[in-house]
Parts: sequence; structure tokens; C-alpha cells
Amino acid sequence: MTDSDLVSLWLTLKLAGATTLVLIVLGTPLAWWLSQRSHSSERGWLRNTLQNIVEPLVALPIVLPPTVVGFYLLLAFSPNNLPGELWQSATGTTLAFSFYGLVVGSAIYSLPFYVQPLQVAFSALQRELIEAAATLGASPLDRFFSLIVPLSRRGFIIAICLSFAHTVGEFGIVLMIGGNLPDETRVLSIALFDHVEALDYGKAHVLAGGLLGFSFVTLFLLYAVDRRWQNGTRTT
Amino acid sequence: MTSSNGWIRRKVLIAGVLIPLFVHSSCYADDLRIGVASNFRSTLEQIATGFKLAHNIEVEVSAASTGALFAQVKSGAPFDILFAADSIRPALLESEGHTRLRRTYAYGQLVFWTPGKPANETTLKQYKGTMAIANPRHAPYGKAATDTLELMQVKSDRVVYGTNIAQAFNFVRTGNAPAGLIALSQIKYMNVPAIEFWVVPPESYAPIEQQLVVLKNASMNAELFVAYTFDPGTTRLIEKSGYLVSDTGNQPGTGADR
Repeated sequence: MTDSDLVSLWLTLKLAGATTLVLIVLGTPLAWWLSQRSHSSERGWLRNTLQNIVEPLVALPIVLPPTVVGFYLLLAFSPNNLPGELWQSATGTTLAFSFYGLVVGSAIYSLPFYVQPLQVAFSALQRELIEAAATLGASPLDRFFSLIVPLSRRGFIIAICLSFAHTVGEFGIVLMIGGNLPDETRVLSIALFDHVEALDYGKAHVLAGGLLGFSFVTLFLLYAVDRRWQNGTRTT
Repeated sequence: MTSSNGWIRRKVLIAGVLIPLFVHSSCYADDLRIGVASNFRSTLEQIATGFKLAHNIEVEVSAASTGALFAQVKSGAPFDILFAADSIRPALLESEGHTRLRRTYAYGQLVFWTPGKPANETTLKQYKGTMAIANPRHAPYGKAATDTLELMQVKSDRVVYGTNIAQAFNFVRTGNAPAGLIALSQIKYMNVPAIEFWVVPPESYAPIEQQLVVLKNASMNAELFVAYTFDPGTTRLIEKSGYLVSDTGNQPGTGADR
């Protein structure tokens, strides 16, 4: 691996880490909200309608080409348009061609990979257990961290691993908004693309093989963890 | 509690079912398939329209970067002709025995573009903001752009790379980069006002010699298309699109400078 590829590796890990953190903070409440379907038809109508709209919105990045997201982000980041203008007046820089711009893009693109597994895990929780904790006087935060998080840890692990791995594997959006700056936006998938374009297949093999191995190992471990927990050994 | 696991499995399954659907072939034997470097795409589409009127032969045009096209040809993509953005990769294809004809069809011209502001030699030399160019590592216009930045001693604080010249153009057009060194052909195609761009003198950079190759197993109609490309009427169209056709005002490239 060359020095510039090592820089790309570090940048990729940083991007995937930052994106996963953002998703943990923003995606967890979203997944929780989506998992709480209301059963009383009176008060629940508005909430259920909102959930019916938000749920497919969250899933959109799975089916949308990254180029659609990249194109809209490119327009949104432009100082000629409001979001880009606000960012520029606040920070003096542009979101396009910056690490923060990539975090925004990656968080959108990996959102369903975080929210969906977690939403499934939350939905499967036994309501009675949480209600019992409430009657025993546990505060909502207490219930969340001492009951819901440990009970849904399988969902959390899948969600975190998938969004991390999916961000490592991101290409299209970064290509469209990144500008290929070393240290800032040239992640591994872009560096690989560069090597192929420059006909440097030797360097391309190192990165492609590395990414393939990483992705396989991640999924392999994920399935293994999943199987183990499924076989009833939920307490270690 | 099987559903989150099932969710992963379902995605993998969906991918396995869908991917084979995209592998298809759709072209008749007499039609021509042409791969073109993105900067020449709109011009080639006009040439193809004229060619179809003259010879009643359909032309299917695929645009990509020269590097991507090169890789596709090497792995057996069924192109008849390749219009590259450089002369290096055509020469490589020729030396590896993939071609039966290689010829220079145009010289690209580099321009400095600042939307909404006048552009000239002085504004380029004094420019300090973000500058969009094509990736110099594999895009010929990008190499010409870095040559120019160096020669003119431009102190741009951030030079961002588009994968190809089309992307560099889009960075400027969307306003994400206030300036760019891009292709004259794009400026002509988008009818950019003359005040906003400055044609960089060709002496400032190594020539962007664009070559075409007819591939070894191409249809016999490929040579017909090449002849049509060098027809005086077509040559005028290429010039009007922002290229130099002969090497006047430009040193002929050796194609061996990288």
C-alpha cells in the first residue's frame, strides 16, 4: 500500500466512524419512534400516518441510485442555493469537497442500514417488560439504557456494523460531491477508481482485494454473532 | 427474533435475483457501437445523426471516461470504434493488437471559466479560490490544467478534481466551485457568454491530442464512419464545437509523454 492509499484508508475509517456516530445519535430515536405503532385508532391516526410516510422515506436510499442523492446534494451544497449559502455564511467554506459534506451524504445513504434492523429489534421487544419497569419507577431514560438497549443489542450490533460497512463501501455519492481531495474526500473506493482509471491495476488489486476481504469478514462475523444469539445463548 | 437476520438475507437474495436481469444485449449486427470520451460526446452524437441520414446505419453511443472505455475494450466490450480523449490509450490498444486503425481526430482546447465574472489571463493568474479541474492522473484535460496552473503560477487554495472534464464542468456550473479549467467544447455546447471564459493559449500545456481507434473485430461500417468523420463538413462541425482539427497552433503530441 502506498502512503496516499494509507491516507485514504484512515480517511475511510474516519468517515465510516463519524457517519455511524451520527446515525447512532439521530437514527436511534427515529428507529424507536418508527417501532412504536399506536393501537388506539383515535389518537394514533396522525402518528400512524406520519410513520407510513417516514418509513418509506428512510428506505429510499436502498432503491435510489447514489447518483440521485449525489445530484441533489451537489445542488443543495452550492452556495447559490439556500442550504449551501447558510453553511457558507456560518463556516466560510463549502460543504461540497469537504469531509463534513461526505458525512452528510453518507448519513443519508446509510440511514436505512442503521434504522431498519434497529426498528425490527425494537418492535420485537415485549411491551409488558418495559411497562413493568415503568410501574417500578424507572425513568424513560433509565428504561431505555438499562432495559431497551441491552435487550436490543443484537439489533444495535447489526445496525452499527451494517452502517459502518456500508459507508466504507460507499462510492457514488462521494464521487459526485467529493472532488477527490487527498486527506479530505479521497476515500478508498475513490482511490481504487483512480487506480483503475490510471491503469494501475497492481495498486487497484491491493485496494479491491482489501475491501472484498473486509466486507466478507464483516458479514461473516455479523452472521456468526446473529446465529449465536438466535440459538438462545442470549446471556453470555 | 429472526426478522433482523431475515432482513439481511432478503437483501442478498434480492441482489442475486436482480443482477442477472441487467446483463443483456440489444444491438443488431449492422449497427455501430461507439465508445466516446465524455468531452466529445455531444459532438459525436451530432456526427452520428448526420451519418445515419447519409448511410442509414444506426449508431449506438456510449460515453465514459477514456480509462473506463479502455478497460471495457480490454475485457472484450463489443465496440466498433473508440473516440478517446488522449493518444496514450489508443496507442496502447494498438500496441496490444486490439485495433486495425488509429488516427487523431481533434485537439482539445482548455478554457478558464468563471461564471458571472469576466475571465482573462490576469484574472486566472490572480485567482485564489476553489478551482475545479479534471483529474490530472488520468484525464488529459486535467493534465493540461495542472500544466497551465504551474506555468501561470496560479495560487488557487483548493484544486478539486472531477473524475472527468464533464464533472469538473458540473462543479463550476452548480456553483460549488467558483472557477474551473475545463474544455472549450463544453463552453460552446452550453452557450456560455464570451466574457465569462478565456481560451488558454495552447502553448501553455501539452497538446490534448484526441485519437480514435477502429477495433480489430469491428463491423466494416466502422471505416465508413471514420471517413465520414474526416469529411470536410464534419471537420467544420468539430471545429465549431470547440476543437482544433489540424495541429495548427499546437505542437503535435508524441503520445509518449506519460
